[in-house]
Amino acid sequence: MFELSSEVLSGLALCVPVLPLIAAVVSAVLGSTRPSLAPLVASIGVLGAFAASLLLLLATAGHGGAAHIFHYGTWFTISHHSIDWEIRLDALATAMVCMVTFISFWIVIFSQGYMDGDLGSARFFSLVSLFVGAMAILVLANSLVVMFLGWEGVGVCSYLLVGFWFRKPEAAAAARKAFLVTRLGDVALLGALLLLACQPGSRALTFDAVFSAHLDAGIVYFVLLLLLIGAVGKSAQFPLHVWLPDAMEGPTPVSALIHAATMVTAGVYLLARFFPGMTGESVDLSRLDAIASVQDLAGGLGAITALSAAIMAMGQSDLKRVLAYSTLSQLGYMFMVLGVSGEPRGEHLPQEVIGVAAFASIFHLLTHAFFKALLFLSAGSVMHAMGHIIDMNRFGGLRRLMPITHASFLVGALALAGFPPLSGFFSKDEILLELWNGSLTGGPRSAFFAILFSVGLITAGLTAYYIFRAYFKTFHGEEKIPHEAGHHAHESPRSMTVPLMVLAVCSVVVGLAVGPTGILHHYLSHSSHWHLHESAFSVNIPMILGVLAAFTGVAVAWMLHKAAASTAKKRSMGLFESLADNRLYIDGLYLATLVRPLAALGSVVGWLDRELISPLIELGATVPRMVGGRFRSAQNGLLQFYALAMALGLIVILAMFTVAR
Amino acid sequence: MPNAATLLILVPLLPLLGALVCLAAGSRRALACYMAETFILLALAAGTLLVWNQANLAETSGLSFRNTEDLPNFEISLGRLGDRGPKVALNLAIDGLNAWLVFLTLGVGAAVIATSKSWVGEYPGAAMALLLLAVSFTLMAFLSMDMLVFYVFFELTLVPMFLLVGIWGGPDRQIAAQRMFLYTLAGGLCTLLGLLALAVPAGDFNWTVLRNSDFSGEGIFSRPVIFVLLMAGFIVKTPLVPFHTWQAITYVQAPTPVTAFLSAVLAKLGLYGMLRLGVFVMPDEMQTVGAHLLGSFAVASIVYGALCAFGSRDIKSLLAYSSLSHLGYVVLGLVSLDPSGLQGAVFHMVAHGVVTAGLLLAAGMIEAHEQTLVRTDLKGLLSRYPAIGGLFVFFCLASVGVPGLSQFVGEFLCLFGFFKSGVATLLGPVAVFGVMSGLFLGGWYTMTLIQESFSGTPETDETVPVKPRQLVVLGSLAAVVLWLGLSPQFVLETSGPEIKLLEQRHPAPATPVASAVVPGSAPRTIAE
Repeated sequence: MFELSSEVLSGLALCVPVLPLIAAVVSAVLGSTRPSLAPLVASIGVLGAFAASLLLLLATAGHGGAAHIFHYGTWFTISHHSIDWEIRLDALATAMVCMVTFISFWIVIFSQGYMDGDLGSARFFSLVSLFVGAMAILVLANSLVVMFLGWEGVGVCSYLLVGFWFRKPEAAAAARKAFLVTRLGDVALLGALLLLACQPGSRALTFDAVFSAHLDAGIVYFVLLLLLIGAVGKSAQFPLHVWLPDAMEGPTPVSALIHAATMVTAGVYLLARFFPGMTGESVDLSRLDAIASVQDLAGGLGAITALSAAIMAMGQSDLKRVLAYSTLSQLGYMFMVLGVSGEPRGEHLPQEVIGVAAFASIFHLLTHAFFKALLFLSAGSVMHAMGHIIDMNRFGGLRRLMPITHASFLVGALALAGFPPLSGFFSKDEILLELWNGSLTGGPRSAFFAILFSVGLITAGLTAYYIFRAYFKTFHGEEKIPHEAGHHAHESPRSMTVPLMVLAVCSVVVGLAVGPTGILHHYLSHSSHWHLHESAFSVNIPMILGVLAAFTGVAVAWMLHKAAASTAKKRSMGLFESLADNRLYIDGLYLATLVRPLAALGSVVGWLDRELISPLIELGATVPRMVGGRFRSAQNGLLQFYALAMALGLIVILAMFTVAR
Repeated sequence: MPNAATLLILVPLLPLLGALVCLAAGSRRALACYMAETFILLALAAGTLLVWNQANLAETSGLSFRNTEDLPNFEISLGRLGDRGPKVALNLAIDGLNAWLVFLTLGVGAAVIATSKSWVGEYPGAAMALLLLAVSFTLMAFLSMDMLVFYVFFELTLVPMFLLVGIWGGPDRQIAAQRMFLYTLAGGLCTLLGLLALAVPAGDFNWTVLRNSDFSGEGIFSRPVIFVLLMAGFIVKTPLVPFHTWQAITYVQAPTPVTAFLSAVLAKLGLYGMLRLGVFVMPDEMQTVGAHLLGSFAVASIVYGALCAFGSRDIKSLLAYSSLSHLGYVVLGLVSLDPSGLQGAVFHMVAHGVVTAGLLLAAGMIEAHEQTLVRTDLKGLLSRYPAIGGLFVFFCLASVGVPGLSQFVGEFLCLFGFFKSGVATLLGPVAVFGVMSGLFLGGWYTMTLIQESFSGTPETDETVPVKPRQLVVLGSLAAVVLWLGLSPQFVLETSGPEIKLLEQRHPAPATPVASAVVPGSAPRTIAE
């Protein structure tokens, strides 16, 4: 739209991660004396970052092509290649960072009301700012190692924020679980970086160096596999999904920001960069084959997560957990479409097919961020009014009491269920369309894509069901307020309702504005390594099927829960509720097969080392000690013993030495 | 500004003088502590000047190699060992290998002395004198270019430590002190034997002479045997599994600040020995015998240490085992003989030292108030000690290897060396799995400790106020952790010129084979 010189762009880009980081430090320092200033500092820092990213978006919107790379310094060097503090500004990164800072800003504003009166609020705002800075580093980094810094940084912030109320044992346990499960993925990611660093071509460890390096197909396969494990951990996909529902112990704005809109999508972002990027410039069949086999895994895991999480969401009575499982399920959609591999299709090259699939996942990532943040904040608003009660069996019929919260939750629910023309409709349709197209090619994988498509369709129906079940239970039926809420249950203050309204508007218009108009498509087509071709919006079969599934889901929810929201709780869905209560028994399985055995092993080894091995070796040491005992005097025997033994030892050794010569 | 040679002798001499003054102070606690602090801070100032010059030298000279003789040094000849035996000299010099370890010794020494008022009991003068003596001996060992003098001070550090543990330690202090002594002495005597076997034919104990000696072994003293003997003392001192059994009990029984010095500094003396005598004097043996022997010990230490850390009863023994686990990565960097891996190893020694000192000193501050560090007795420490507990969590995150904090870069470079040099292929997929799972297990026991002892609700809600001195000590260590994490290059480069010496020794090194092994798969080899 307008031109900015390279220096200005570089400075603006630097502002995006640095302003929130400064805000984090300032609010932590100020917070100890003036806690009331912390939210102000944090919101200024994050707003500054948003302003900078918006300027960057507008300045780079007109002319795409190559990514801008800005250099700020060197971190460390590895075999003559320096790992630099560099920002890589391309269309994808800019779009992501705009979304992240925009949503973060409104969540900070919301938190001002939500966290009001909490003792640790300065710590809260400092950590949230730190998180935004780390997320910006993750998205903008040019070097993979710097990206890993952001990746771990958001993980640490997530850990500290899930455990924000660390006096609660559940929060402390959830924080540890979140850290450790994602750590499994992080170690795999680190393994991928090391593997790439060992290849001479990709040692520089920047995106461009890795994508243009001549790598063996085998190396490509292992790198992508390890990256997939990292992404599965971060984005909480099956089988590493178990931490996300527990992470709901954190304050609700944190759930909205970290565990719905931003951090958990980092895995999708990573794969959406790597799958198309690793195809290389020319068509290399063995390489494409390696990518496709990892993509199959991504799609399969995504499908398992999408369906099973939707089933678990159906039986939850905790409103936040419904949303948590819904996040898993929606991230599953993004992984499913990332599984669409590059079988040549018509006149399109494989790279183009992978690029379009990556586009669909990123489109859903962006729209999902808005409506899921909206749903979480609405749930937070309910929680705030209900005295921190989140069990849907204990409240109901809140639509008159909390009209703004009700309206915004409804908008979020409609967007999530995929009703036209809300944003979820367009992005979910894009995913279903890609899966549909994949199943029509007649290639060896078309049956697989057909399965993925049907999973997507079924999940669409289940999604509409569980979110409207939650909606009817919370806002319809007889008005019911838990006693914890006291007598002052009321609509939330302005600082909380304004963010709800802003995000509600976004959830309605974002999809429509950037989807069918082709704006996002056009903009992201400049992102390097994505070979997007122009496509016009049209009504198609998957779209109609998707909308039908959504209507069915809502209708079932209406029949089952609209009328009987407050009476019978466990009716025909008893099976789902028991499955959901036990989380499909997956957590129990891990506990029995991995967690407890590992802990037992640690305890046993620790005990053995303490009680058995050390005394055993002690036995061997008895002989010299008996010798030493003869020279020990009562007063300061230890020192003399030492000197004597040392002298004796020296004599023995010197004697041995002479003999040996 | 005093010249480098003066500084070189001043740095170890100042703590020695301080020790004498403290002894004279006797039972006057305030005076003893004050004098000890004055002398260690003076030494720290002198040392910082020395190290800073050296680091700047390395940065300006870039990666061009240099001869150790050209460096500023302080030398007094001590004649020969026997009539026609090898030459011995008091030869102090600072180079890329010891520069930051000298800084670490002084920094941690100062931190330990500044926080040691609480445990010195009736003999404050003696305790402070012994601490200063330990610092002085360690500095002599690090700075000495004569390997016999290095060895003597390497062993002498045991004396003050032995007395500190034996007199001021916990209930089992006698057992702990004896065990530490017996183990390290036994290992140390092997090292002495190896050293003599190497130096006698070379005619000199000087490091440079030993490095350039082409003695190919004689009788039973073949080079691999000499190598194993040399390394024995260092393996025990570091320690590595299976020679670690003195460590946990000593760490637990020693007064906690003394444990901090043991773990942060003295453990590095063993690694430093592997670096200077193993990597530089016998690189070929390091590549063959060392990669197998030390590499396997390192992998065992990483996994076994982590498991024991989880199963340990108190915070101090957890930290002892955690040290055991983390230092395994340094050894992997050393045996890789890869320039980046070695730089990472030297860096990681310093990085780990700062973090472990922070952890143990913070634990000591809590112990001084709670009278216990048994894990099951402690709950909700974050509520009771917001500042100290918060800093403890910060050091924990550094210890887990969060990038941006000190340990990440060291671990990353050590692992890079491990994979690139082919040691990973040599040790096989099981070892690779162990090494990588160590990264996870580190988070596992650390986060479990935080969950059990630092989170939760304490029995009493009263907050224990933090003393300004405690905040200054822990805060400066935390600042160093951040500095090392965010701009490690300055410290990394310091060791560059010496590491170049290795390449000089092998004008045409056997083409290194870049290789990588993926857990669960057959080793893959990719020609560079």
